[in-house]
Amino acid sequence: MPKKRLIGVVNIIDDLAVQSINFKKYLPIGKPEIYIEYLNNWGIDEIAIVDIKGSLRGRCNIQDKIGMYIKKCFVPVSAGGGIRKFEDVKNLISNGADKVIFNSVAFEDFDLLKKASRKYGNQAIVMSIDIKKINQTYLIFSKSGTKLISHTFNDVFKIINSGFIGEVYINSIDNDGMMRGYDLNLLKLALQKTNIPTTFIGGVGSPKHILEALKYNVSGLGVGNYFNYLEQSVDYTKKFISKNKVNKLRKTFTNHKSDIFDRFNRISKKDDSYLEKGYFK
Amino acid sequence: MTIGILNYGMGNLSSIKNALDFLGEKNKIVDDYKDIKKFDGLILPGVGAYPEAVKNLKKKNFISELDEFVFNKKKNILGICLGMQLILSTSTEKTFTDGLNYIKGDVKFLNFKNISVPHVGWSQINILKRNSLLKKIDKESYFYFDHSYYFYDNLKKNIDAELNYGRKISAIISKDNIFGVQFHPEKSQTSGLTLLNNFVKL
Repeated sequence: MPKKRLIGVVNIIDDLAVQSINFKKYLPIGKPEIYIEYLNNWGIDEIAIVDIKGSLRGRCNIQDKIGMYIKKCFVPVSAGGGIRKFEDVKNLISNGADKVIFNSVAFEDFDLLKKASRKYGNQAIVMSIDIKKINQTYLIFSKSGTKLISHTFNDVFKIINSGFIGEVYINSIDNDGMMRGYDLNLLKLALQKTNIPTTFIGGVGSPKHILEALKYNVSGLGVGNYFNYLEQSVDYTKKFISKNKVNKLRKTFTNHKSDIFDRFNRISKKDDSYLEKGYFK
Repeated sequence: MTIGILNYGMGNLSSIKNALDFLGEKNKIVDDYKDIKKFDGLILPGVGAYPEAVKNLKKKNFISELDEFVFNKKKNILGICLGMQLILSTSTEKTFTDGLNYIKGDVKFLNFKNISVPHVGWSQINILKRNSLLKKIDKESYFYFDHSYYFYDNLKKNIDAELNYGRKISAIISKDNIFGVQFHPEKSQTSGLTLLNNFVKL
């Protein structure tokens, strides 16, 4: 059976990778292609690239840039945010995305999702839903968490189980950027509603949060902010999980033999003899 | 040494090109059948449906040039995912279709109890024969799979690596200068890049 996946979530606004807090506050990380290359070198299993303002702006702007973002990415990629037209889907896929993420548009134009599913297969279709708990009820929001959808939690799973969707992402708006772990109640509730591979996103602040979520029948666990606080964060996380005798993640064989690390786990400056050999040819 | 990536209108050519660029290997996307003979090795990519793929190979006049490349020139070819299935004899995907028949075998649907189809994700392979494609690849390596059809032969004649997914399925097949992998090496990080590098250096 395939392993469970650690998915690096790369949120993008205006060609810049950002951290997101409650879908409201954003902090800059840097160039998406650099961050993606690092995640890739640190042993990430998959990358999700989201144009988080796409649906509000009415266009998925990452479709023009994704080819450049993933030039040094050799793991599967899902991408979306602001999908409107079939052409958006086609562009993302022909520029290297393996799957396309549908959120707001799935509530407005489900035929587009169906068409994409027929053309590229349901394994290429990810439905992502953003959920906020208000008065003890889980409510569904679209448009980057700004628009309340009339569908109930149960209604949404009818869409998800329609046969056109290969994978689901469930984002907790409340836990986004809060570093207190996944909303495990939401996780348990959602896993009862579908057999489609499900990934949870929102709230990781420690590898312990990943360890506790791995007890459930999740297919993937999305990590955003937490992975950009520490050099080799993915490697550290995977080692923590395997040290706890949980064998549910892909072992990676990252090789940093030629690198020396300082006490902050940053890569140290190479010594002069190494530099003299030259990098630029 | 230049590797050609065959463009027959199916699949994610840019990912394979990115991987070869990263390895520093000369490569080019091949659109015209007349160019096939210029290359030292060929990659047959593939995402999509079998019948359409065969139709496109015929339409672009690729087939006789491929036969010449593989059997007379004895140059190396690597089929990836659907590309691996195409070098086999037949497939029952959608309808019965004849493939390139470079390696004998039939492609069938993965319909076994209690497994989800397609098989998508990182799975560990079991290496049966250490062919030159598997140099420096750890025996516990994972590769990224994404497919609904499979090939297997109980005699394991041309199978170099297999895995269990509801039943045994082949992961790597080879015969002389002909290679096929069911997974996507261009999406399988270090182990995938190592495998592609091995192919280029054959």
